[in-house]
Amino acid sequence: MLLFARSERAALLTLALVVAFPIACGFRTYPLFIATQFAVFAMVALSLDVLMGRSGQISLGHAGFFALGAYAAAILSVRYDVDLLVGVIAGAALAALGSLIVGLPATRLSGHYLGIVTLGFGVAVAQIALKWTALTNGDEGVHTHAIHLAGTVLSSPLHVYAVVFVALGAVTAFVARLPRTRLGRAFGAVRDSEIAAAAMGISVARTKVLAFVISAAIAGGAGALYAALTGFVAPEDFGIGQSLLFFAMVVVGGTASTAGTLLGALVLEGVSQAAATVGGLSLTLIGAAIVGVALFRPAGLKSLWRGGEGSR
Amino acid sequence: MEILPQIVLSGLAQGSLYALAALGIVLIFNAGGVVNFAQGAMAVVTAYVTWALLNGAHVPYPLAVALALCAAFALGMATEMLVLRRVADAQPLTQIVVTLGLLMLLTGLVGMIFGHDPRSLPELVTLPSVALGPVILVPSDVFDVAVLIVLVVGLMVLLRKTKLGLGMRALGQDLFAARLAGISLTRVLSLTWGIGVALAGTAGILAVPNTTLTPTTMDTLVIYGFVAAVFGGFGTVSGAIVGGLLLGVVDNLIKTYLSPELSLSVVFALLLLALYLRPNGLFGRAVVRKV
Repeated sequence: MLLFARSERAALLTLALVVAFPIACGFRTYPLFIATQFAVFAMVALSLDVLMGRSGQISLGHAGFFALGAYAAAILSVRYDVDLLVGVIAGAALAALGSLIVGLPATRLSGHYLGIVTLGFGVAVAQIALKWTALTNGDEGVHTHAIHLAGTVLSSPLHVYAVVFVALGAVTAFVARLPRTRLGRAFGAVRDSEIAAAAMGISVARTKVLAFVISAAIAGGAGALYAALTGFVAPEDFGIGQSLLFFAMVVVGGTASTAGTLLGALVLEGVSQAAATVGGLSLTLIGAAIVGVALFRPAGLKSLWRGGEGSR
Repeated sequence: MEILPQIVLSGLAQGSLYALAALGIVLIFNAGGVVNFAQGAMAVVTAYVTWALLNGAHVPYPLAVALALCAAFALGMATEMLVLRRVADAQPLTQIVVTLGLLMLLTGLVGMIFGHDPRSLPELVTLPSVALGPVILVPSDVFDVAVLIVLVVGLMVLLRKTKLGLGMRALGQDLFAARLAGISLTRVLSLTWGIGVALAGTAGILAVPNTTLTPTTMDTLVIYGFVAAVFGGFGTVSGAIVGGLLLGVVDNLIKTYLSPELSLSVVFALLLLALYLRPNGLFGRAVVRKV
């Protein structure tokens, strides 16, 4: 196992656990659905970490980008019966476009201002999805057609599960590699000091917008996969609560850590599923977890393998 | 019969509530540098306490409101003393995280205790409406504005004339100098949190009769409160009031002439525009950032 660093081992272990779960349950439909949903949410959490952990910005409305992707894919599926790959690309593109709405002002905003703007964005997307009935069918939502990828109809949950896991693997690899690229280093420089980054010749505004675009594109692609998974897209899936859940996954896992974010997503998805039967319980537990992490373990779950010093 | 003066008038009433919400946010932000994202959840708690006192303990309405506001004050103080004080020196992100965590925690708890069925509170003022020339004065609207005026005057007196107010202003200006001058940072901060949350609670109780009470009712109210605070430049009491009233009127105009359903989206677009053109608020001055 010395081939991998400790953080990479933690990431692989998390993924292995989630792959093992439906196998252990004998590929029954419901555990498969839960595992696939986890993978979709984990992708959004990873995308949010690109924004928060890597580039030092904040988004309290990531469900908005997720929704744009889901609706784009679902509507294209219903109206034009397009391939899932087209849906994913369209979803990612629409979300990336939407991210410019908040990303461009974000170049001049930070901290709580950005929090408020992104929160408003998420709420606005959900509201428009609810009220633009001609396009989104409003409250009743959009039912997708049979999902097909490269000519093959994804007829069983197992197919969707396989596709989503390949996508999660790709996103994980991309996000884990990002800090070692030129762009990733620019993100880090802007996060740590905008003025120093500018002095080194990095365009701060461009870098911040790029972080938003990349993050939103991943979240949008994940949204398209979510539409394929559930076969049904409705506004109530994309409220403030969903945005805060994504945010919580990153915070509990530990920002700027791929393995931490995956583990955070796993833990919080587990909590929401386990506590789903009592109204309000999962929200209470997640809220308590966030406050607890912020007070006692500011580095989050990643401190489990980084000795707790919270190094970035 | 929708006529402009009537729309402006009821917009001002709604705007008073936004102004109250914004005031609470700004007051806490000025003293401690923390934006309390849990403000809405705390307003919800206040409204549910009122509801429980009214329907469970059968306390008279005015007394129930008074007791609930005391509870809000205590909740605010406790939040500062037990939670925020521990992250006072942490990064800004951590403080945002903590208040978001509290938002989820309180919303979840309210849902567990009171359930998710919509509740309601009666109007505080039940007088017949008065026709005044072309406009109709709705007593509850007048009451909303009156509450805002009374609380703002009270707040002004507090900030200008009392030692606590002096301390609150000093903390906002220079933490270090304030400490040197012998101002108890912790005491002033926790009292400020108490007042700020009580203001949010007031807005919450006043808002409920016009809608219904669920654990997430106040999400919209607080987003409007944030927007009002941003319009006003986030730093000043007067900015929060003007921002809130302006937002109320603008919102009502959008609802009447454009679309009642998309008002939040249009307001959000206005917020983006305002932040892009005037990042320091509609009345703000440019801030020079130093290294």
